[in-house]
Amino acid sequence: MSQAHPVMRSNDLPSPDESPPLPAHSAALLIREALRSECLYGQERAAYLANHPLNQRPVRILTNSIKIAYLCILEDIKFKRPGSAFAADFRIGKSTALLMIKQKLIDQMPEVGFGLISAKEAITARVFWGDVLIAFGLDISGTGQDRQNRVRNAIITACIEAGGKHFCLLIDEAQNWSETEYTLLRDLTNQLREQDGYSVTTVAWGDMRLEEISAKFRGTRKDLWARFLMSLKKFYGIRDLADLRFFLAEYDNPRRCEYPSGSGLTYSEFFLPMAFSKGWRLEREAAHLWDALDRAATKVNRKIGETGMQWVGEAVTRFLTLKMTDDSSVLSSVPKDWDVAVEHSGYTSSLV
Amino acid sequence: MPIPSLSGLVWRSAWASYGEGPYSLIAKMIVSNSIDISYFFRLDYHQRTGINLITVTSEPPNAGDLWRNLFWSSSLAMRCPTLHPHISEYLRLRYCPLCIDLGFHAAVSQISAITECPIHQCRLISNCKHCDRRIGYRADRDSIPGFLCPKCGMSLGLIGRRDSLKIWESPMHPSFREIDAWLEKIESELDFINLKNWSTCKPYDSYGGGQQIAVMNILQKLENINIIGTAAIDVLISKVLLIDLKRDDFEMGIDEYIFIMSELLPPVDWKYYWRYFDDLSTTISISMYAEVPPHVHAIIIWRTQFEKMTPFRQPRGTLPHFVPSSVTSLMETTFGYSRSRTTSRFLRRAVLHAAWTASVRIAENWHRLILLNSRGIEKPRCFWTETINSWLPLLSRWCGCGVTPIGIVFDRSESERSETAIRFFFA
Repeated sequence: MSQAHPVMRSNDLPSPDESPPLPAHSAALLIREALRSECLYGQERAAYLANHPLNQRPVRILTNSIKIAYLCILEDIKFKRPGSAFAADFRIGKSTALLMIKQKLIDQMPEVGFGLISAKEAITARVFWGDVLIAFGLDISGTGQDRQNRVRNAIITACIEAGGKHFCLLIDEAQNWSETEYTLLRDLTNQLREQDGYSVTTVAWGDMRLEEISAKFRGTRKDLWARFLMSLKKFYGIRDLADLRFFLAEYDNPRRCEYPSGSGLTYSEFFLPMAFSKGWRLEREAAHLWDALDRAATKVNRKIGETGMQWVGEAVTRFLTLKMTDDSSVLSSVPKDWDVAVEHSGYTSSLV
Repeated sequence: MPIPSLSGLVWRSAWASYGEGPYSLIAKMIVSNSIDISYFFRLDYHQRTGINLITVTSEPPNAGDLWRNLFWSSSLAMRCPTLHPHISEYLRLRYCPLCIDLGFHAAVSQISAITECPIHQCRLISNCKHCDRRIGYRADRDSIPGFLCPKCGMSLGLIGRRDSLKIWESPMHPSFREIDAWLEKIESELDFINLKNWSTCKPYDSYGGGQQIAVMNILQKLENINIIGTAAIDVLISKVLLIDLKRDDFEMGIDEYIFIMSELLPPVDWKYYWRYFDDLSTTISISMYAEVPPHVHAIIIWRTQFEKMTPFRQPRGTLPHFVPSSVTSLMETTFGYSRSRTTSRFLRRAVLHAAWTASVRIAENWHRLILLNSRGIEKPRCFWTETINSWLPLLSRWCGCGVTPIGIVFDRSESERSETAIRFFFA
């Protein structure tokens, strides 16, 4: 009868079914597969669906126009230009785009300080600086001068923290500001440049009224126009089929549209996993959607032109949700599917 | 990079370094946010006109109050909750001019025993370097705004300038960790002498005299009890009156206190005070640990007289009788207080206060002479911990030299706490 070594206990013996430890990447793959399985077929699917980014607001999907605007702003900051401006039609997705651009800029340019404010009409200088402070998440106590100093110090501090000497101020709803507000902003940027040695790039971001303000300043206040609104560019929604294809391709891209994080599931795959696994892609639905939008416009005697993200995004989400029940390896969409989705999005009402 | 902030105020985490006290932190907040000092009065609702920078708040703030927590965690009271009333300088700012230039003030600079900057080894100062006016260690309208001298308006350092935002990355020095370890050690040492459990050892309050207040309140209860007699006295009353007597948070019983008072007042003239104390002191227990600073020592002396921590050796056949005029000569202090207003109540307060002041003076002299003597033996130590660590061997050297003793030391190096008499020189 064999005896165990006195020092070795039975617990120390390896069990026959105990497998050797997995390499790190294999373990990660296993975890990922488990997460995918849980999201797509598990009991928690309903909860994941409710929290899906497409069911939240705002929906952040990259568009061609956002990409172009981002590159323009990036260049403005790199060359330390005093300001640039973008104007867009209503419900194009301006504010969401600006948030996305800001986040990307922060990641891309860590040496630059960034601030985002939503412009409001200010009655006095004190109110103006108070609005800026609120947008920065700072206390608004004190006089107008105190508030201005706090804004100034906030900008300097952001630059110090970033390790640079440049600040980029993104102004949403810039059409709400008038000559007074832009003059106050000009004085601040002058102070920062001349007394403190920090440069500021402003990005005015507003609706089409910004064009009117730009034109007005061009005639009466050249200083403000040249600084803030001279290079006014148009920010577009979806203008053509190519834009739409770019937009829909993002839904198929796990790099920016992955949910849940770490699962590798794209937005479109999450809704239609079987079809996706067999090669279906939302990008290829672009022509169907474009036609559906065209048909909807024709119904109200309009011609399809620039389309706001609000309607396109809504239509896509509606389509994916409607097709969830029909998900199969041979998914095929018919024009009616997209007509229903577009109708639900409210696109037609926006044209009337 | 988004705008760095802390609970609505412009703030970089790099502006607060280890060991930094609330004085410079508040000043940085004021300068970087262009806010008035009164903004910070909301730190503690009990302090509406200014902030006691030793304690900052009377109770710890909620976890969500980020800047309140920043100040609280930087305070000396947080570092040594029990000890801070006895070791710190409450009234005057004590600062290193080189540190202030960097926008830094160490919390431990307010500890009386620390006379040199742990970083720069230069002497700590309390006055404005431009006009020599004393600067208070309190955040109120007279003391802080922008680190300016209240008299001449000159800045104490670079901290008040706008461009100083760039240079506020305060120094990180290992000494501060050592000091904190030292404070922690003393705090644990207080357990040994049981200071925390003494009945009148209250948390320090905003008036700067928690312990005295507790005792004084007992005296209020003794209003009609004639312990001392009716001798006239005109000492120290004005000082005593500064203390708020309205609180009622004592724990010591009246009977116990009467007994202590009778023990306290010896039937001898106070010109023989020291000699009498010599007799008393043979049973006074003092921690042998040299790190215990003079103010703690003073507390112990005082408390042993007033609270019967250890039994006094009272000469037989003596009566509790007191010659109060000797208190005046003892303290070498004369106050022009009207005799006609002197009452026995004031007298009792005066006696207590005089005894307290005497205790402080004894301990301070003891400490000062130790340091003076050390200079004759070797050059003064630059680093404060070395100075403090040198106490013990110096004390031992004086043992048996015939000088007046004031205490007995527990030698904790031995396995049992055997008492060893060591005579301390103080006169």
